[in-house]
Amino acid sequence: MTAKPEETGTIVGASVHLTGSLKDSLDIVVYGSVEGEVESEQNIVVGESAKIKGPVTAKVVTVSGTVRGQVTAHEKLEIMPGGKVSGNIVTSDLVIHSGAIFNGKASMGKEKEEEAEEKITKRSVTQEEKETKEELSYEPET
Amino acid sequence: MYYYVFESPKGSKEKKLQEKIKNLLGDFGIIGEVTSASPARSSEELVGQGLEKGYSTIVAVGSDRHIHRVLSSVVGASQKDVALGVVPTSEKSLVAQKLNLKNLKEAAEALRGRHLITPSLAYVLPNRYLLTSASISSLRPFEIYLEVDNWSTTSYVTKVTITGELNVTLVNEAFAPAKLKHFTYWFLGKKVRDLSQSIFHGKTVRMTTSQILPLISDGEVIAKTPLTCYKKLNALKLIAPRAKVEQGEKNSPKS
Repeated sequence: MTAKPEETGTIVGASVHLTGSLKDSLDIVVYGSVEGEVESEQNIVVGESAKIKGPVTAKVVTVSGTVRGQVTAHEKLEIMPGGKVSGNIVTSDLVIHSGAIFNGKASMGKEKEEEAEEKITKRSVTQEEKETKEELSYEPET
Repeated sequence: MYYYVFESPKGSKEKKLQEKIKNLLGDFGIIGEVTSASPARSSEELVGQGLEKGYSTIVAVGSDRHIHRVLSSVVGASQKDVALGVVPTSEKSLVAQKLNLKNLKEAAEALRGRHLITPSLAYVLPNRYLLTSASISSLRPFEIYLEVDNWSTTSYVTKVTITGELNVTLVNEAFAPAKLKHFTYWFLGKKVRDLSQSIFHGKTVRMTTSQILPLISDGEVIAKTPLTCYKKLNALKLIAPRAKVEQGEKNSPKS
């Protein structure tokens, strides 16, 4: 069955090596290799045979192949078994399946960052209080 | 008033069909000045004469090849108030499919209704406008260097198709799933992923191939590689059936 362009967005076939900035308002599906930026206003699917070297940006990104570069998924990033991401990721919803490989830093959004910082601060305060109490309660052996 | 440019008939069968069309147009009350292309006067010259006479509607009657020639002349004249109507006569006309015209009667009804749409066209240098599609194909894979807007690609393909919306499809049959795989997946209720096909969109497309190859539309060579295409918006007012107009209005960008 032949895909209709207006319904499918951009498809990079397995035999295609693409260089440059690839942008589309619709979905982008990559089975080949891309050296450069890949940006979609909708979804990006990185197939098993795909290799992308460059930043990837979309609402939803699904990685079954290899990506070297920052991945920004405004809604969700899913790294499938066999998928590899080498680079930082920025997303609000992250799913890493067993068998996937991820090397980089993950940022899960500003609100969640602030919550994480608050938790860390609270933990430090609690720990300090505990240590202080232990010091005060310590009685040396005579 | 309508100005009709009929394709030069190739035999008695086509002559009879053209007479039938003229009678049909008369029945619908939309008959106007009728001209017919010939070795002495090309369809492009006839269009020029019609525009000089001040006609605001030019109607191409004939095969897709003839329709595209008339279309290119109308758009090339850059007269914004001129509309193009079509009466496709080919059995497997891509123009008829695009406009959802199932028969001659529907084509005549569309002409009478005179509802206009502005489809995007692909402008293939040096002088051809494309409403439907054109393709380059070869039995053996050939190397293609494709530049689309801000990116480029090199690939080996067996077929390249360009549409009027300037969608470019690359196909390499070597990567196409085997028929047995299609059947097996169909039997199992699964979908086969076709990795052999690439689809791109753009406003500007430049194409270079390892050997000079023809770009063919409707059985006619309209250009050869290396070639350049541009997407043209609002370059043509085309008469279409009402249902297509409503869809076109939904799809047209809101200013």
